[in-house]
This record gives sequence, structure tokens and C-alpha cells, in this order.
Amino acid sequence: MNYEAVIGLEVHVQVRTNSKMFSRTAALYGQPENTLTDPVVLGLPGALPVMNKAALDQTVKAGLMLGCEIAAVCKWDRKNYFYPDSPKNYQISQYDQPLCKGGFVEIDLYNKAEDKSDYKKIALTRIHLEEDVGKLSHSGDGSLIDFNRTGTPLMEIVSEPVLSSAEEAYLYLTALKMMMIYGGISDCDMEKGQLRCDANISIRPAGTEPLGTKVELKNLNSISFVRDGIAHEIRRQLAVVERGGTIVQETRDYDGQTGKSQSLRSKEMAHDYRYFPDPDLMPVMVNAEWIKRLESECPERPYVKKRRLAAKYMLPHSITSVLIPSREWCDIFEEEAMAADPIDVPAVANLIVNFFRSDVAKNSLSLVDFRKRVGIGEISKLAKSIRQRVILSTAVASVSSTMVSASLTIDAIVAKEGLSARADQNELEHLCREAIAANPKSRADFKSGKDSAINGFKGYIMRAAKGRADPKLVDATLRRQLAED
Amino acid sequence: MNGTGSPALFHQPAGALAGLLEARRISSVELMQAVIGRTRAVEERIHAFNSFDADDALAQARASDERRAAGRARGPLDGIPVGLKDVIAVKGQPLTASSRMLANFVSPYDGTAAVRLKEAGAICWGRLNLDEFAMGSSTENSAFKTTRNPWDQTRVPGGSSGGSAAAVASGEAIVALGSDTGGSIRQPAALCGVVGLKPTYGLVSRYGLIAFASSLDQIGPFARTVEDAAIVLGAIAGHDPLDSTSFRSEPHDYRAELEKRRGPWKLGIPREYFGEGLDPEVGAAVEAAIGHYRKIGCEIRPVSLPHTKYAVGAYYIIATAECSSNLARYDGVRYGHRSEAATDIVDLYFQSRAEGFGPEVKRRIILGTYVLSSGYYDAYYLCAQKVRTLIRRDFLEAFREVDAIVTPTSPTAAFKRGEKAADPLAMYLNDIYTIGVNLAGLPGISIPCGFTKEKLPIGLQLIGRPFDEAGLLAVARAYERDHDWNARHPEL
Amino acid sequence: MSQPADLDIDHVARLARIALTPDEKARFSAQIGDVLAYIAQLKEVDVTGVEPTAHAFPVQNVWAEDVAQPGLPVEDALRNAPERQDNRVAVPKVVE
Repeated sequence: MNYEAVIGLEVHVQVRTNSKMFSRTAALYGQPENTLTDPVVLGLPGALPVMNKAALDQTVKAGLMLGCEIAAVCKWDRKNYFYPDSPKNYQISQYDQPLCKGGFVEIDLYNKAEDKSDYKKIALTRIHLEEDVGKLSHSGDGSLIDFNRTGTPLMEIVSEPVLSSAEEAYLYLTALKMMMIYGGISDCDMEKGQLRCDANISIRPAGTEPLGTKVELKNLNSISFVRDGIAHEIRRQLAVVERGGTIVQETRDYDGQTGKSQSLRSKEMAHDYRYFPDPDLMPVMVNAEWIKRLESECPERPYVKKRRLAAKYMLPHSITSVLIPSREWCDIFEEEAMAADPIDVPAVANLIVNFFRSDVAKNSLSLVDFRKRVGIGEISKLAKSIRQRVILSTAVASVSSTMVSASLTIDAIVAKEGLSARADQNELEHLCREAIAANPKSRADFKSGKDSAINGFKGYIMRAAKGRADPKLVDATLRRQLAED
Repeated sequence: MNGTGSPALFHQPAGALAGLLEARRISSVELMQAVIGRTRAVEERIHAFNSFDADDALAQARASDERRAAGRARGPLDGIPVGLKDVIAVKGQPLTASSRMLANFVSPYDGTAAVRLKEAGAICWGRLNLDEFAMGSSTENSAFKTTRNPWDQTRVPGGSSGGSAAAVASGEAIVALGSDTGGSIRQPAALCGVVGLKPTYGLVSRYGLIAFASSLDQIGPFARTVEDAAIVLGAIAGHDPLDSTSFRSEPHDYRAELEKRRGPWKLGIPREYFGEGLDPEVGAAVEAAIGHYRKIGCEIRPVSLPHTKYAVGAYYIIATAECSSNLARYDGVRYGHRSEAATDIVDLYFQSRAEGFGPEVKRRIILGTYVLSSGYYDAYYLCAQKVRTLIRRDFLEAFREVDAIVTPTSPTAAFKRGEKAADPLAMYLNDIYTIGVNLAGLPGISIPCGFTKEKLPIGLQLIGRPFDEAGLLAVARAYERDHDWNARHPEL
Repeated sequence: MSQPADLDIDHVARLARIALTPDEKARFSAQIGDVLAYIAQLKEVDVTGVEPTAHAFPVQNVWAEDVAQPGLPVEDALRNAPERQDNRVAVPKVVE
């Protein structure tokens, strides 16, 4: 019997704000333990919550970018459960009226062999806002608690159970992460705990509708581990079923290092969270003006931008897949594309993707600083210079590197390195080979002993190098290549 | 009494003392010493305080005198000792809720009430006893000690703010702050013969008040006179950005408005408050008070609050549900009592809470957990919140016809220690006249209106419109102006 | 003394994380049972079409601007901690 997998993902995304969700202590990462607390964060007697407006704004923006319906009323509920990382032993969250409902994440199941995109919309169930808990670590025979993270605003994004493979889950997370980064809502750095993912996985006979027993997979610490963990779990469930067993509903912990999972000791299997509206917080009316303002602050969605750039500039998947994840690089590309001659646009894209990105990384620059060093129009000028052979393709890496590290313009580099005066040896080698290949008659003549045939190549070379080649070097290079030929 | 024949300093109201301080007839240090002296003299009979720090209080008094000498006195509360119910956070002072759970807890922060008292120059004086976590009507549920009623030490002072009421009655504090969730300021005020005001829900910040029932709790003043209550209210009332339930009301000079408003008013008498269970002496004193209002020109109208009989039931669902969640934080992890018998982390919760909480607190947590638990939410909590809407509607309907509502505060005068302790339900029914006011979020005040044959104080409750404390205080003052119940003091 | 059939005091005490002695279980069951029996009269009330009172007065849109303020110094934060190791609160081993 053929089985198919059904996967739903529950993703927690830390919202980027200055202060915490319900109090104004700073929301930062990597600070000394327990230096980001206050009576509200610690759940001290007498403390009360006050909502962070920016966190609400950010979450509505996330919902708008994901095509969700935004609730007219934002209401808070208490989720009551006891755990050492949760100071009040209840979490302020949203139960029956989440801030955002519905929505979708678009993924592209791109087929590399056929160079074909296959778009699929993964439906979301809801997005709600809540407060994060503290950090538990284990030491000897005890545990230690750091409350710095407690109270950080956290979005919970729940997908419908409509993902059908580990690969789809991987693409979903990547697309979701890109959306959050585009919107300035979160940096989604999983290592810093800014994005956490739990997966619910079940299998069922292919083509049937009822969902099988689901297993919850936790502790998936990177997007790759999410993919690997899900794949592993699907295999595990198939194996159980194939030997006639039944899937037990449980929570399992996946270890990305070993590639194995184990059943977590079951806490109370069905938590009774005793949800009730938080009497300490007032409802927030999210009206049409508010939504309109936030919508105007939303950037072009990445999947919309991808289609637009691909169509407008004829960019292939190999370029867009690298360019789109960075909104700033896309902006830089479009600035350059508008300054460039249309014929140079593919080269501009290529330069950005294959040269300038790594230059920026090597220099550890922000893209704002990059732009200070490489002004608008410089990349398009470089593309044009390559086309006009003022700069040979072999020289590009060093030119782009110099533009970034030394903040020099194309004109300055060409002048400084005497590129207008002479071509370098690499370029000469290249030109000589080209000349020889382009002039078979001259080659034959030279090979048969006619020395003056070498001039047939030199004309070609001088024209191509626009007179920048040193005649003596040209001569020496030609003779050597012809001899090795 | 002192040598000149006027009342001892510790018996005088804040309003009068402010005048003496301003006129430099006394210093704050002298006043504080008189209060400390009185406390030391009577405390072993009254047990109003969980703790007090005389040195710290005198330091605050000295600071007040220095301010005054430099011409920087801050107002009528500057240099006045204000007792604090041991649920209001004052930085560096114990915050115990009269519970073993918090026996060693020292607050690292000032709640807003403390901040405002300090800004007014008041002396934060001592930690006053209460029913544990404010749950009770007699202060017998305190884990530490049982406060006595200064008028008869075999009887209770009422609760939960029994320590605050007793301290003001006995002269161990000039004024005090308490908290009121179902009557915990008004009922002890009545039983101890002092003034006790529960403000409109949202008027006074709850930031720094140990939460019992979040949608019902309010901090309010105990005082000897209505004017003193107005002075203290003026210092602590007003919007607080740290409390999301705090209301943006217009600032009022309650003290100034007191003498300006003379009535007459339309007063409502709810028939449901004068039936079975009301002690005849209490009833007679309240009738006499109503008669007085009639005499000064007020129109007395019968009103009906038909859902009165459901108030206690609705309260014990809502308040216990909220407290079961509010008290979840007390687990011995970050602070509070941690059991030494705990063998692992799970046990730590079970044992610390078993050891830290007293029986009434446990009962209410369990009842509250039950009414919120799966399958019961609609039948109990949701239903009670709807009944609450009806109770509030009853009051607001009545306020279309009248300016204030007059009732007894408590069905009886102070009862004997131990008399009701064995039957929780009987104890709950003590709050029958006060509880509806909390459910409706209205302001309520209790003022002395007489004594029983056994010389026990009787309290008169006035209930006002939302955020009309100025009006309510004026109605109270109109009665007080022609009576001198507050000139009597318990013999100690 | 009554006890409604559906008050499972073991279950509720477990939800509330309070260890009760057998004596407490019996006593509280009965006492809470009395209160629940008293509360039952609320069923008499006709609440059709009545909105629950979420808050005593209708106020909306209470929030604070996202400006970070200094919090508690770590010593104040941990002053009341029953047990600590360096600057973290210490508890018995927490097993998932």
C-alpha cells in the first residue's frame, strides 16, 4: 500500500522590538544572565502587564504580508500551566480570537533539471501573539534558569496540515523566514532562538482524507534539522505501519547530530490550560485606518518581487533564487538595472550574485556601507566596461574587490591600475589565444615559416585591447603560444 | 489624652495634624514618636502589625521635618504615618500577604501606591496584618497572628484588612491603606468604627498590590474622618501607565470638593439589603442614619437590586477563578517558600504550595481551578460574568433615580473569634452587602453610624456612581458633620 | 455536607499543584461542595442575550510605546531566590 505524509508546522518567531511584550525592559540577546528582568518579567507579587504596541504592529504586518485576515479585536487570554521557565505559571497568549487568521506561504518546488517552477500555496490556520518563556539549562543534578528571554514578544504561526514532504517543510520555513526578514519583523536566527519549529507528522493511505495519528516532533534546531527530522519520522512511521503496528500519539525529540529520535516522557498528555480572558489587559480594537497604515509599511512580498524581476529583466531561477532572499540586494540590483543599458542588465545581475556579494561578506559590510563605497551606477558601469572590453572578464574579481575594499570608482580603478594604458598579462594571454583562434590563415602561414604572419594577429589584439597592450609583451606571448601550439 | 485636654496626637485625624505640622506646633518626628509609643503600648493586645521598623519610620519623619524647614513641604500628608496592608509593595520592606509562602519575601520595588505616598511625603509605616492573601472576613486566616478588635479583644476586627482597620481605630496609625475585593476595606472599617473607602475599580492603580481577584481588587484608605479619606484618596488616585486597568479620570481635589458639595441628594434604599440575616441593632442604626438624611433634606427612595442574592455566588466563581491563576506564581522557584521535603522539581511545586498556603487559600485555589477546568468554564465562569453584568445593570438602573445608595455595611457587628471560622460558607455570607459593589465596579464607603448595646461599632455603607468619589464623600460628610462617633476611642 | 459528584479533588489539586493530605481532601471536598451547592442557584438566572462583563468599565486600546527602560539590577532580581548558582535561579533537575 502506498502512503502519503501529512505535515503541519507550528513555528514560533520572536518579534523584533526594543522592549518586551508586557513590560519595558529591553529585549536583547546574549546579555549576562538575569540582567533583563523586572517585576513583571519575574512574576513578582503585585506586578501587572502593559502591552507593547510595536509588537502588535509587527504581528499585524506579518499577517498582512501572509495574506491573513486581521481580527477586529485583539484580546488576551491566560494559558495556565506550571513550568519553571514560566514565572507566572501562566502565559499571556491568545486562545479563541487570534490576531490573524488564514493566510498562506507560497513555496516553489523548482525543478532544476527542467528549469521549471512549481508554485504551491501552503495555507495557514492562524497567527497569534504571546510572551516567550525563560531559558533552562542543566547543570549536574540540577537545572538553572535565566529569565532574560522571558516576556519577549513571540508570534505563533500555525500551518494547516497540508505539507506533504520534508522538502516542502524546508521550503516553507525558508519562505516564511524570508517574509519575516523582508518585513523587518524578525531576523529569524534559529541559533539565537528567534525562530523555533515543531512539526506534527502523520501518514495515511495515499489519496485518502482522514488524518492518521499524529506525532509531534520537537527540538528541531535548524531548518536542515527540520527537514531531516521530518524525513526520519516519516520513515519511522512507515516502518511501524509496514510491520503491522499502529502509530502512537506522542511527542518525540529529534537529535540532529545523531539523526535519531526518542519519545519524550509524556507530561500530562492532554493539558488542561483553563484558558480565560486576562483580566489585567484591555482589548485592543484594530481598525481599518490602523491596518491601512501598516499595509503601506509592508514591502513588496518576496514571491511577488521574484515574479516581477524575472519577467521584467528576464532573470533565470539561478539568479533570482540567490537575489530574492535579500531585499537590499534586490533594491541595489534594480537601481543598477535602471542606470544600465538594457543589454548590460544580465551582467549586472551576474556581477552582484557572483562577485559583489562575496566582496561584501569578506569586508563584513552592511549594504548601507556598501552603497557608500560603491555608488549608484558603478555596477552598471562595470558591466558596460566589461562589454566594451575596457576591463577583461578575467580582471573582474580583482576590480570588484577593489571597488568594495578601497571604495574606488570604475574610472579611478581603470586610471590607477593603468588599465587604460596597458592590459595585464592574463588579459594578453587571453587575447593572444583569441587572436590565434580567429585567424587560422595567419596561423598556418606562421607555422609554415612566414614570420611576418604574426602581424596578422597583432592587429586583432591591438584593436581588442584598444591599444593598451605592450607590443613587446604581445610579441613574446604570441611566439610562446604559437610554439606550444 | 494629653495634658491640654485635646485628644492624644495618635488619635487625631490627619487633617488636623497637617494643620499642626504646618503651624510648626508639632514636628513629624514628635508625631511619629507618639504613634510608635502608642503601638508599643497596645500592640501586644491588638496584633495589628506583622512588622514595623521604628528606626526607618523616624528617618522618614526627620526627612519630612527637613523638607518643611526648607519650605518644601509637599502637602497635607507630608510627615503623616500611613500604615500599609501587607499586600502593598514598598521597596526594601517585607511583603508577606500574611502567608508562610512569603514570610521572608522583601520587595525589590515600590508599587504605585507607595510611590505616590512617598511623593506626597507620607511616612510608610509598618506592615499590617490581613487574612492570608486577602481571603477572609475576619483576619483569622492570617498565617502569623490574629488581630483583635480594639473595641473588644475577644472579637474579630473583620477582614481581610483587619490589621489596617484596627491600627487606625487604636491609634497605631493615623491613616492606613487596605485593599477591597469583596468588602475587605468596608467591612473591617464598620467592625472597627472607622471610615473605609473602596474606590471605583480603576481609580487607584493596582501595580504593586498582590493580586487576589484582578477584576475586583482596589486599594483604598482607612481613616478616622471622611476628610482624611479624601486626603489619602487624592494622593493615590489617578491613571497609572503601569496598570492597564487603570482609568484615565479627571484629577480631583477630593478634600476641597468635600465642603463645597452640600446636597441635598436623592438616596436609594435597596429592599433586598434589609431582609433576613440583618442584625436588628445594625438595622436600627442604619434606619436612624437614613432618618438623619431625610431630616437634612434628602429624598429617600426605595430601589430594587433584584440580582442581589446571586452576588455572593457570582463572586465566589469569579474571584476564585482569578485567584487560582494569580496565585500560581507562588511556587518556591524564584522566591517564596521552597519546601525542603521536595525530592524533585515536580514535588517542589506540590510541597512548597502545600506548606506555604493556609487552608482558606487552598480551598479557593481549588474551587477556582475547578470552575475554570475543562468542561466547566461555560457553566460557571462565563455564567457568573453574565450574572455580574446583570448586577451592574441593577445598580446603574438605580442610579438613574438616585445619587447614592444607603445600606448596612455588615449584617452584624464584630463577632467572636472562632465563631464563624469553621464554616467557610457562613463566613462568605458576611460580605453580602459589600460584594455586589465590587462586582459592579462602583465606589463604596463605610462610615461609623453608632454602637450596639455591647459597645461594638456599627457601619453605614454608601454606594456611589462610577468615578463619583467626590459626590460619595460629600454624602458621607453630610452625615458625619452632625455626628461625633469618631470622637470615641476604644479603651486601651 | 454535600459533594457534587463531579468534583474530582485529586485531579483538581493536581492541576493546582497542591499536595493535599487525605484529611484535607475529605474536608475541602465537603466544604467546597457546600459552596458549589450554594452557587448552583445562579442557574436560575436568565442570562440569554447578556454579555459577560469582561471589565467593569469599557476601556480599549491600552498600551505603551516600545521604549526600553532599565530593569531590575540582577541582585534585586535574585534577592528572594531560595537557591541560586552564580546569577541563575537553581532548581532540582528539570526533565522534559
